[in-house]
Amino acid sequence: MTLLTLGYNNQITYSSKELLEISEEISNRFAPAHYPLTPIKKVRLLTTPNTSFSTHLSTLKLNQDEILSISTTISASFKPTLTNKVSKLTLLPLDPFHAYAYWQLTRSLSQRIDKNKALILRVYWQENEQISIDDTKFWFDIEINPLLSMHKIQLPIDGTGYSARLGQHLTPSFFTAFVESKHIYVPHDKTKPIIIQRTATRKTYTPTVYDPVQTHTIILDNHPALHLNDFTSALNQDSDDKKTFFNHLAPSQRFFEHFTHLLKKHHTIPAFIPTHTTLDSQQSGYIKTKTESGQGR
Amino acid sequence: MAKGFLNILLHAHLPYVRHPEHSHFFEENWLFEAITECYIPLLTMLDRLQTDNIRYRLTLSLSPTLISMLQDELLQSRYLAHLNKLIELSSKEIQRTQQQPEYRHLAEWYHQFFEQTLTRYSQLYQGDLLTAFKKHHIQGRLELITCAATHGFLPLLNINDAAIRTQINVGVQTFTDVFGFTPTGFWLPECGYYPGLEHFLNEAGIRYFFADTHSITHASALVKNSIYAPISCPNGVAVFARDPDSSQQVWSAHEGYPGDFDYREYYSDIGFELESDYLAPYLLEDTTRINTGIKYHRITSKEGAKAIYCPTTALAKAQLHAADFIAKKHQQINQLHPLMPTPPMIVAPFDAELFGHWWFEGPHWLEHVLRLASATPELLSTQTGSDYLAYNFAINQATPSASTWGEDGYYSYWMNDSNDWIYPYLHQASTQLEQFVQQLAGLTVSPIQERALNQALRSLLLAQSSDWPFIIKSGTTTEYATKRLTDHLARFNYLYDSVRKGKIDERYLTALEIMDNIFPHINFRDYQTSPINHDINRGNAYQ
Repeated sequence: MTLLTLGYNNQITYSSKELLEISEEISNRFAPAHYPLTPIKKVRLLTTPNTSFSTHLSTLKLNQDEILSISTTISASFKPTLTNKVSKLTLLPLDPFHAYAYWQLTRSLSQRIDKNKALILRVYWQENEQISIDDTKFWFDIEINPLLSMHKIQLPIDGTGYSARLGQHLTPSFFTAFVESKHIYVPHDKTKPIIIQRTATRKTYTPTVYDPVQTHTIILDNHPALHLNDFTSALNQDSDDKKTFFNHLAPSQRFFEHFTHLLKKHHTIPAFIPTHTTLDSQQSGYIKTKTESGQGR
Repeated sequence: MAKGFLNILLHAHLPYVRHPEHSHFFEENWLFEAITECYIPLLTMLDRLQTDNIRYRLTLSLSPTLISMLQDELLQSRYLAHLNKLIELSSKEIQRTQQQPEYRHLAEWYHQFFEQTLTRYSQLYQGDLLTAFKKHHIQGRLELITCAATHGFLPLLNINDAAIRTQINVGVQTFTDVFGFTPTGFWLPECGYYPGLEHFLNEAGIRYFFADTHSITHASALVKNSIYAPISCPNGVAVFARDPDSSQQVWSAHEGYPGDFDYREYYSDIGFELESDYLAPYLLEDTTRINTGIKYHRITSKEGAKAIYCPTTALAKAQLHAADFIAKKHQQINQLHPLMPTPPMIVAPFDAELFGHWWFEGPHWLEHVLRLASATPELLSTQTGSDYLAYNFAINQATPSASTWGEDGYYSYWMNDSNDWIYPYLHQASTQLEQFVQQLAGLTVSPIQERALNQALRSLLLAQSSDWPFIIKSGTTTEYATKRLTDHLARFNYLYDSVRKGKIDERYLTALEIMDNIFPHINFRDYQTSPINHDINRGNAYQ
């Protein structure tokens, strides 16, 4: 019985035990901040540990050997297994530049997969949930070994959102998506402020063409006390003009810059396409990309 | 009012390790070592400060798993047995070191230390450390707060709301049941925050929480006072960010105080140094070497022989380091104060087990930090999160950035090549239970079905503990962590399957209730996506 289950009725009579319970409950729940000190519970210090046990919910009493035997049986018979009743793709943010994807496909869907073709994890830049995955303009593909069910993804820009689809190119020009993830958001890289506004004489960049959609502004006054810690590293970044400039760009431009950089570095073709993409629709611009190596399980 | 505030928080947590199915279990020593070296020394320190009428404020976060273990009669009785063996071993050491005066002196010192610990535990506190901590809360010096139910790493459990809501609500409820009041503050396990988490904290009545430095420096909007004032999430829950300087001074393996050459060397333990035959009764199954808690050497230097430990010198060094810490805080406050419209607050959170267990002299250091801080109240005052909010200063509003206090500041320590395999299983079990609870809405269940479902929720919560991926990554007791995780998932599977098939074996259920006897008032119906409404949970019987 608790106070919450009691309705007011002056015809109700209580036993002394019930009154004690109510009294304790009132003291426990409604005592003022400086209530009298009472022990939380009466502790019974046992000198010899018990070797047989029961719970207040059961009249059964079990000894150590019985409990151990039941524990062992359950552990052996009910080992964790993953069911595949529903196909799903889960995306988990890890840090500003990484996410994890894992997936489960139903038996019927697995049978539809062409074993001779790679699975494709298509990662979409989806700045926020309000933007439909089909309206995103940037994506990149990662080839997945069909035997794997998990992959660590390297992401091009921090402080923005992503989602993904898992599918296959059943014909060279068709990407068929089997399953789609929910939207996730990765944080900003803590080692670099997005914008530094200062009154000092150092040169600063002001975004002109692209508005800084993500306005993570940190004001640095000209006082050493506020330059402590993380701010120090922020100031040091000014030596790398290019990096600072990159950080001033809007996410879309940073995404673009990132892939241009990849293009130059790896002599491969970036996988962003400024076109509408839809589930199971024909993609005229599918381009295979180099992916990070050795990250998957 | 002081020019600045120092907010020291100790987070006390251990995973739920209790094995009634075994007569002895090595990993239960984690709790016993922490009681001897950390929790009782901290209480002793708080008692001394109270006797000397020192005015201070300190925050202590007690995790629900630790609260449950400290209350548990089986573990209490096993702790007494453990402590008596230490007293016996230290007596043997006094005999063995008869011809080595320096070592004999230390053996006597340890013997006295263990005897005093036993007296305090069994007589002064009567085995009830929680009441002892509560006493200091009531007297207005200590602010007690709590944490998620089983220390689940919330950012990676965030695939359904039920997992997050239950971790927070069960944690708060456990604390409230034991202490008789609702906590105002909350320690996020591993300091792990993701945007949106504050909604569940608000729902549970929490007014503030702690996060890492970059949660504020990279928040969603302009932050004028950097990390030296809390910010308010859009829903009004306040967040205090860790001061990296204070952490560096204490945590850093290279520059931090605990690495000083005069302090006790944790890794020089007679359990690994004396002959096995002599130590046999105190080793694991009489053969495997383990830490005993008797350590004769000081850190000395990185290389070469270790010099003998001198407690007097070490405690004097701790006082020196306390003075240095306070001087640096004064310096920080003097720099910050003219730049801020409100007194700056320096937030210094630490794992409680650092104090006494890893850094043996830590409680002594902390005692002197609090004493020194109280000596200059016009310059620096120790305050808690609640104290700060009570001033009603204007607070900037922004959404903090995702963060943890782990390696690299994000989630990679809890999800990487070594432990990523656990999440599909955890998420699957969570989804299964959430969907099943949805199906049961409006239906009544039999008492035994209710017991089985409540136990299934206990199993799931225990599997969700952040300690298992942490241990697997750190490579320490990985076999144990993996077994615990898979055992709890197996128990969940068994119970879920039993209820689904309508075949619940009460012997099996009782055995699971005995083994995982945490959270006695848990209600499986609370595992739901939308805020809890028990009115809809009554109706036709579930078949």
